[in-house]
Formats: sequence, structure tokens, C-alpha cells
Amino acid sequence: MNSWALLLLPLLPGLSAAILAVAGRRWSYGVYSTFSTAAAGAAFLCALYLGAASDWGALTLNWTYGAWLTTPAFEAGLSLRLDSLALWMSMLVSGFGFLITFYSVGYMRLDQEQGRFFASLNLFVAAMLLLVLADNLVLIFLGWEGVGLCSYLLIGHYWKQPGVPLAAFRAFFVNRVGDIFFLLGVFMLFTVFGSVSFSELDTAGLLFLEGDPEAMRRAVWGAFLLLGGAFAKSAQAPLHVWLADAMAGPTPVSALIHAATMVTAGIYLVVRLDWLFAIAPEARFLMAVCALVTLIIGALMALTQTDIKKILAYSTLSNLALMFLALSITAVGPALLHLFAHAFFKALLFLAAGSVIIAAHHEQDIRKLRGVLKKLPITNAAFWVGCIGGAGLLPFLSAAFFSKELILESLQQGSVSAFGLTLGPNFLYGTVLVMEWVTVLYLFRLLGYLRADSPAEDSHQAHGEAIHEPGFSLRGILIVLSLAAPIFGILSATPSFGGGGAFYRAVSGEVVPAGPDFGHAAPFLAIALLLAVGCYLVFAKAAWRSAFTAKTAFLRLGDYGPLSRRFYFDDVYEYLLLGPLRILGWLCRIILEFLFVGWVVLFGSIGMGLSRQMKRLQSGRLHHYAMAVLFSAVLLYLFVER
Amino acid sequence: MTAIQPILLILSLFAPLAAIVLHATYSGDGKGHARLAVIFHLGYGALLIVLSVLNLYSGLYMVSRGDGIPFGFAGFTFEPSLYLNPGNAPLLLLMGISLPLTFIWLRDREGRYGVSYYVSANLLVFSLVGVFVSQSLILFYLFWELALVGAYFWIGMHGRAHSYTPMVYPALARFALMTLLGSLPMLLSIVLLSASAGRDPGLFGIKTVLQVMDPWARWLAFSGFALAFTVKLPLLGLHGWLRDTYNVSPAACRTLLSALMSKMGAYGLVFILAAGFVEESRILAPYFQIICVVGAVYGGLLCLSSERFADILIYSSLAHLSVIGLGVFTAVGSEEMYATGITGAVFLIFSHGLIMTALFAFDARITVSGESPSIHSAGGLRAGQGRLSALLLLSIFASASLPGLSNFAGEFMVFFSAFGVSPWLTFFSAAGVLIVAAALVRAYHALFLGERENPSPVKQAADLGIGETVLALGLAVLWLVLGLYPMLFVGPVQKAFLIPGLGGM
Amino acid sequence: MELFNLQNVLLLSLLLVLIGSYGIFLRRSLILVLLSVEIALNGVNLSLIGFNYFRWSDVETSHYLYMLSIGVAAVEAAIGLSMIIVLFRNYNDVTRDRVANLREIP
Repeated sequence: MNSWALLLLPLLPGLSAAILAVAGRRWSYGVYSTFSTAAAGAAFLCALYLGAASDWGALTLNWTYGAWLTTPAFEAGLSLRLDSLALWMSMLVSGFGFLITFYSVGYMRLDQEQGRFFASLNLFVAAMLLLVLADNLVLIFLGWEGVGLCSYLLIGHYWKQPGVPLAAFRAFFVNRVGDIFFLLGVFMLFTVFGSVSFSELDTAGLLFLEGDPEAMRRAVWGAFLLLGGAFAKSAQAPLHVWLADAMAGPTPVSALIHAATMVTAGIYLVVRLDWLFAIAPEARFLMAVCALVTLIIGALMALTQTDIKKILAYSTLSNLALMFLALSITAVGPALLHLFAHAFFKALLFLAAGSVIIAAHHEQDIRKLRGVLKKLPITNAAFWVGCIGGAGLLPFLSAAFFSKELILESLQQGSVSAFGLTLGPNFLYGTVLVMEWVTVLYLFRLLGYLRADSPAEDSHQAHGEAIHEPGFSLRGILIVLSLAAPIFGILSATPSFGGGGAFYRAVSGEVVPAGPDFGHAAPFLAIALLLAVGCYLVFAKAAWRSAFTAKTAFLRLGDYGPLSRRFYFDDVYEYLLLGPLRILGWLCRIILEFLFVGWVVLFGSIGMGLSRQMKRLQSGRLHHYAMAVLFSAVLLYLFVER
Repeated sequence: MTAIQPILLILSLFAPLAAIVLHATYSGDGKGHARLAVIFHLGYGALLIVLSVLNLYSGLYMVSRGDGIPFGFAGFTFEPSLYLNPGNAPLLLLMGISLPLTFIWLRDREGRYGVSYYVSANLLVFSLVGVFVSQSLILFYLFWELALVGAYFWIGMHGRAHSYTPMVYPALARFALMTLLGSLPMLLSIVLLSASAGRDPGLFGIKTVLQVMDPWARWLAFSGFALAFTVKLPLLGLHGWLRDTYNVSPAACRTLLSALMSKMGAYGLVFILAAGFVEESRILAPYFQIICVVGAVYGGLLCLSSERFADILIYSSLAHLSVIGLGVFTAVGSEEMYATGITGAVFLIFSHGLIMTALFAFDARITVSGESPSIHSAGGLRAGQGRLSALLLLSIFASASLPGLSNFAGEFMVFFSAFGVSPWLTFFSAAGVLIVAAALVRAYHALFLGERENPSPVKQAADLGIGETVLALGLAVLWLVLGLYPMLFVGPVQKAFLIPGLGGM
Repeated sequence: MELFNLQNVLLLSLLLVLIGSYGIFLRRSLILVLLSVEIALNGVNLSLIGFNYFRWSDVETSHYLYMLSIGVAAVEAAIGLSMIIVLFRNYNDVTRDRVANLREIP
């Protein structure tokens, strides 16, 4: 019974997606949006039931139905597994899936193609649940690609607008590139361990620690390749280029897929195979380097963006990088805690941003949204909770405070070295600390803009359009999430703050570390608080702003240099990869194809020329032919005679 | 369920001849012929589906040796015998699905075409079925050449030149000549094998005959077959006929050429080269592998530089067929990988045929004239063709072998088999296929998304009808089933390649 | 010395073939060409009969062959004559140089 509930978990939203895709067009908006929400809610209830049945992760549930893709040389079963990590991930996915589908009912009310939107949203939840529950690397690939597909479809939702198809294409392409690495990684692991099933790999991997060097080398390669897949999905440099563009999709999609759930798939994969990365320091070194680059890029880019959603997108980049950084020093627990904490505050921020966008009639430029929060009390509160929580300024308001402190603490002790290089604790700790201060800056810059006291000249208020709090479903979800974040924060409190760290223990199955000593963290927190207040005042108060002079380089940073070109990643890809490929394509088309077709034409022409010469022998006169026959007969006779 | 299969097999082979007679004697106009073709192929498709599904899941290995009509001369006996087993049943299943879809989606609405169109089409169909079920090699050869005849007359009498392929006959001549360049050496090879055996050795007897032959004779026989199959597939270097022939063909012909006729070559690779010429293929496998991988990348690059949607489809086909070839030639290398690679190739043959049917049919349905649109000429077509664009996108994703759709399992097995030889083979062929997918998606975006210009520069045809959409959805469901539970298909098929002497090693 | 032996029969048939050939190559009228073909053919038929009589007189195989050949010759003559009639209708002429359309007309 329980194992079938396991199957039901991805099946419920999946079936709902199929039904909506076929029949959705005939139903009224109310009916199918309710249907879709109900399906996501049912999945959440199912996850809750499974949680209770598995004693909240203490038991591991399995569901197996024979072979999925099995040949004499390869084996992948159709089996699902629910352990504590999968349980909490599926609660996260289905829970946020439900909340955000409910939110979308209000958000998409006036859209043209809601049917497709809700079907894709349900399909996404199904695919993500499959990804989380799959017991082997091939089945996980099904979910992995499924979420990529839904992401593509939903980014391209406003397909008529210029730039949107390109954004969707980028997401598709970059993720496919990652998939090649993923697939190669799966093959590589299979050749080393002879299995792709997680349950078998876990035991095989533990035994492997004493393995031979050749197998070791292949295992490390496997880790590298899988990391490529994880980087594409979790948007780490150099495969991060799609995430900022992905904000072309509707805001609930950005909240669900590009902040809370899908982009964590890479983290999930690395955590699932943590034993592999534990024995592959080279892969962890690469992870640390890429994560550091992403952390810095994300934070700096977020600091200079003017699109409300892009600020949040780059913030997501840098938060994911933080998780990878923790994973690179094998701090799995803090990384997972931050994954959940990030999901809460980032979803809240995105949904609040969505509320602002709806209220301001799809205006997303923060320079035109000055002061908009003053008319939206609930959204305003949600923004405050999200920003303070996301910046990790106050304990208990958000779990992010504890997760960041734990990550910083483990960075102080951990280091990763490979290829004769070492990333030491001081370097890692210092960089992350500085970037956390930048995080505080960009979040409060955003808040400052939205609460600024002098509305921009060309904003909607100036045109006299009414700005008011959007509908019930939007407000409701904002309130729920604003309340849930502190509850989750309290549940995650570390012993040093008097908490039990219940959630940490549940997710990671590790003993809760004592956590940061408040006295030790206080100076850094004080600096962060100071920065927050200062930044907020500079952007929110006209007097402060003029005092700071809006023409300082700090405010105009985004217009110059690497920040204006997104650190040249797009240019590198365009000029060093796609451009040459395109030129190569044209060369193939013009030169090689000419040759391949040409040799046939050449032979044909030779034949035609010969035939033209041979034709002269045909005089058309009867006696010539008769003579030819006679001569041939004589020749034949002579030939035979001899 | 096993006693009925031989009867159904004979019926499936000769039914297209009945269609030829029907069309030849039918006195109605073009629309009547089109209706007749639709009705016939619906029935015929059902027959093929029933037969092949019965065979796949009953696991019957059927060879009609001896119950043909033996006739002979000079001590040589020729028995026209047929066979059917789960190895070649997928090909009949593919035909059973692809034929009705092609003749319905691309039916002649204006009644432009007359008897000759349908006679040559059904001749092609007849010979395709014949190729896939012939056990005796001489019969195989006869059907092989007959397919060329059918296609030649179909294209020659009804082909049309476009702005992007200005002349029909040079293209057609190239097609015929290159195919003959392959098939005449194949005839010599068959004669050689038969002379060594004293009789027609049959598909499954090749391996036995080879044991009594001299090395040079073996290599000669191998090269004849290899040439025929690689031209038909086509592999890189022998694909000079591909683009122009497809472009001048009538839409239905183009669809069948890509979906079914190219599979003749793939079928030969699997059932004759891999299963028959085991030693020879194993020795030459590295070279073929490299050609296949380069072909996949090359096809991708050509896709990237093509502007016509049809061109992109044609070159995508080149890349995907190279992947099929890669599956075959990596599988022949090792005993334990054999069933995996070959089953992957057969899976891909099946799935690629289905996908190409949809892609080429939908491509021809975009514009009123049936001419493939250039990706720079139009945009926002989705506004006028919602259903078509959605189904086309789904087909593109299926062709990109997204997990959950049909290509994935096949490509997975092929790539796994290639990985066993060298990871680089997998990497580069996957990269080639990725470029193909990117080019297809990019073309889709250019044509269908964005804002529609008013008036649109291309004359857009009407959207798919309800019935056509239902058929397409049925196909999509099949893709989903194959993608979500591939074992349903992989299980029965791979059994055929585990039995030595019957397709196995 | 008996005149009726194989050598003389063959000489006679050779003579007939040569006469026929002379007609085929040098006469201009197609009717005469046709007649010459018949003469040459009969020369060959004569050699068949001669061989049979002198070498294998106990079997009749050559007679069948001869009769077949005569039949074919008759058919050929009929077709040839009808073709000549068609040619005459079209060209008003039956000389061989007039009828030279088998080559490509430039």
C-alpha cells in the first residue's frame, strides 16, 4: 500500500497534466485551474502521508516494477525509493508546487493560454517528483529531462514577445549540453560499478574506497561528467548563462522552477552521490572553483540589475553556488539546510515580486517601480520578511540565518585540494563572507527602490493608474509563506541558539552541529546590519540618495565593463563556440557537400561525354548495321577458331 | 495465434499488388484515388500492425523455407521464402503505422494526381514489405531493385522542382545511379554466395556459407552488400543523392523515403552485415564507427547552416541514421554488447521512422503549396496553426530523444554500446545529435514563435483537422509509451538478437 | 565421284549466303534487301538440312530447327513487308538511304 502511494506521488500530477493537455481547452478557467491545484495538493497530501508512513524519513520505502531498460549488458529497473532526503525533497517540491499553482490561479487569470500553463506546471511537479524519487540514474534522467522540458515550455510561455523564444532556446540548449555530460557520467559509473541503482551504488561505493587506480580514475571521470550535468541544471558557471534569461517566463514559474525546486536538482544529485564526490577530490575542487566564480558573478550581477526578477535570478545563482561550495568541502548537512531555507525565502521573494508586477501591470523595472510597496501592505510585509530572511540578518526569521552560519562555520574548517592546489579555509571563508555582505547590499537595494519615497516621473502612479493589492490567491500565498518562513526558521535553530535543529537532523540524517557561537558571529552580523540599513536608506530616501550622489560608480557599475556584458560569458560562447560552429557548418555546406555531390556529378558527366562520342557511331543506315553484324560474326569466328 | 501468422504474412506481402490493380482499374478522378488510397492504407496498416504485434508478443520465429515454389537450373535451386520474427517485426509495425499516417496527412486534396502516382507508390510499398520479409537473398535483391523502380517513377512522374532544388531529373538520375552503384555489386555478392553454396543461402545461411569461402571471395561479397546498404542508408560520403532527391519528391514520397526506404539500408546493416558477415564487420568496424560519428557531427553542422525546414530535416536524418549505423558497428565488436547495440539500432530504426513520418508530413503541411518554408521567411505561424505547431514541437522533441519520448531508449542503448568502445564516440555523436536538435528547435522558433507579420510572407495552409489531430495524438501516445516504459518494446525485440543464427551472433 | 556430298551442300549454302549478303549490302531498294535476307537465311537452312542428312541421319532434331527457322523467316518477312509498306506510305520511297532515322537527328 505504501509503496503504491510512492508511485501515486508523481503519477497524480502527471495524469492531471495529461488530462489538462487534452481536455483543458474545453473547460472554464475556474474548473481547470482548480483541477490543477487540486492535483498538486493531492501530491502534497500523498507526500505527507508517505512522511507519516515512513516515520518522517526513518524508514526507507521502495516500489519496484521489474525492468525499465534492461539488456544483457545493462540494467536499469523501474523502481522508486523514498529515504529521508527523497521524502523532504518531495515534500518541498509538492508543497511549493501546490502553493505556487494556487498562486498562479490568481496570477494567470488574465492570460491567453492558461491551459497550457497549468498542464506544464503539473507536468513539472510530476517530473520533479520522479527525479527525486527515482532509484537509479537512468530513471532520474527521465525526471531530469522532464523538468528541463517543462522549464523550456514555461519560459516560452509569452512566445509572441521578442526575446522570449531565444531565452527558452538557451535554457533548452544549455541543459541538453549538460545532459550529454550526465549521460556519459552514467555510462562511466556503470562501467566502474556495474550498476546505476542508487541503493546498489551506495554499498558498492563504500566498498570501492580501496579500489584499484584505473577504476579510481574512471570513477573520478564519472564524477566530473555528472558534475557537468549538475552544473547545467543548477546554473553554475560556465553553464549558468540560461538562468537570467529564463526570467522571461511568468513569475510563478520563476519562483517554482528557477528558484525553489528545479535548479536544486544538481545539488540533489551531488548529495545523492556524496560518497562518489567524497572519493573524488578533483571533482570537488572543480566544484569549488566554479561555485566561487558563480558566487561572485551572481552577487555582483544582482547588485547592478534593474529588472526586479533578474536581481532575484542572480541571487539564486549565488545561493546555489553557496550550496555547491558547502558540498565541495563535504558539508552536506549545511548545504541541504540552505537548499530548503533558500527555497522558502526565494519563493517568497519571487511571489512578492510577482504581486508587485501584477499590481504594476507587468512593469518590471525597479526604477519605474519606486515606492510601489507603500501601497501594497501585504506584499510589503512579505518583502521585508524575504529580504531580512534571505540576507540572513536575523535568527529565527528564516532558516537562512542558520544555514549560512553553518556553511561559514564549516568553511572555516574545511578545505579542498587537488591537482596540487589547495583552496584553503581562510580564502573560502573570506570570499563567502564578503559575498554575503554583497547579498545584503543587493537585497536592500531592491527593497530600497521599491519603498523609495519619490515616485519616478514615468511610473504608473504618475499616469494615475490604480495600484492595489492583487487577488485573494496571491495575497493568501504571500501570507502563508511569510508565516511559514519563521516557523521553518525556528525548527532549524541550532543548539547554540537554543534550538534542537530538528529539521537539520531530519534532512541530512547527521548529528546537529552546535552551530555558530553568537558572540563570534556578532561583529560580522553587525557589519551586515549596518550595510543593510545604509543601503536601504540610500535608495529609499531622496535626501540620502542626493547626498550619496546618484552618479557614483557604485550605482552605475552595471553600465560599464564586465558587468554590462555579463562577465563576457555570452560573448565567449558566441564567438568561440557558436560562431565557429556556424562557420564550420557553412564550410561543410559549401565545400564538402559540393564534393560529396560533385563526385557523382563528375562520374555522370564523364558518362554523358562518352555517350556523346559513342553516338557518332550510329549512322542510322541499315547497311552499316548489317555490315557491323557481319564483321562481328567474322571476328567471333576467328576468335573461336583460335 | 501462431497458425494465423503465415497467412497474414502472405496477405501483407501481396496486398499492395491488389492496391495497384484497384488503382489501375479505378475510373474515378484524383480525389477518388486519394480516398481509395486512404481507405486501403488504413486497412493495410491495421493488417501490418496486427501481424507484427502478434509476432512481437508471441515470439514466433517463422521461416517459410520449402513452402515457396522451388525452381532451379544447373543444379541451383531458388526457393522464394519469407520470414518473420521479433527482429524484423518492428519494421512491419513501423510500416503499418507510417503508411496510413502518410496517406492521410498528405492526401491529395485537390485531386492533382492520377493512377500513376498511386501505382508507383504502392509498388514502392510492395517492394519495401518484400525487402523486410524476404528470407531468400535473390528475392531480397528483386524487391530491393523494385523499390528503386517504384521510387523512381513516383518521383520522376510527380516530382516538382523548387526554388531551392531547381531541377528534378538530375537529382533523380543521381538517386538512381547511386542506388544502382550499390545494388549491382550486391547482386554480384549474392551470386557469389549462391555459387559457393550451390543454392540461395538465405538471410540466415550467410554465416554458414562464408565458412567454406575463400577470404577474397568473402571480402568481395561483404563489400557488395556494404556498398548497397551504406548508399541506401546513406552513410557520410555516399549521401550525395540525399538532399536533392528528397526535395524534388512529392511530399508523401519524401516522407516514405525518409521513414521507410532509408530503413532498407539500416535493415541490411543489422540483418546481413552484423548478423551474417560477423568477422568482416568486426574487422572493419572501427572505420565504420568513425564514419558514423563524423556523419553525425557533419549532419548536425549541415543542419546548422540550412535555411529550409526540409533541408534541416533531411540532414537531421543523415545524423540520426549515422547514429543507427554507430549502434550496429559498435555492437559487432563484442559478444556481450551485441544484443544491446543491435536492439538499440532496431529501436532507433522504428522510432526514427515514426518521427520522420510526422516531421516531413507536418513540414509539407505548413504552406499551401507544400513547399518547405525558409526559416527567415516567416514567423509567428503558430497563431494560425496551433495544433500543427504543438505536434511539430512534440515531434522535434521526440527526435531530440528527450527521455519519456520514443527515441531515448534506442539512443541510450546505442550510446551505451558506443561507450563500451570509446567514450569519445558517444561524446561526439551525442554532440552531433545535440546540434541537430538545436537546429530543429531554432528553426521551429524562427517559423512559429514571435509576432506574425501581416500579411504573412508565406501562404500558410489550414491547421490540421480533428481526425488528423487525433491520429497524431495516437502517435504521440505511442511515443510516450515507448519512452516511459521502453521495456515493452525492448524486451521482445532483443530476444531475437540473442538467438544465434536467427539475427543473433 | 558423287556430287551430292556435305562439302558441296555447304558450298551451295555459302553461295546462297553470299548472294544474300551482296543483296543486303549493295541493293538500295528495301524490298530487294528483304528478298536477299530471305536468300541468305535459306542458305543457312540448307546447311542445317545438309548436316542432318550427312552426319546425323538417324535423328530428326535438325528438322525441327529448320522448321522453326523457316517459321521465323516467314514472320520476319511478313513484318518486314508491312514495315516497308508503312515506310512507303510515309516517305513515298523505299530506298534504304531515305530511311536513316535510327541515329539522333541533329
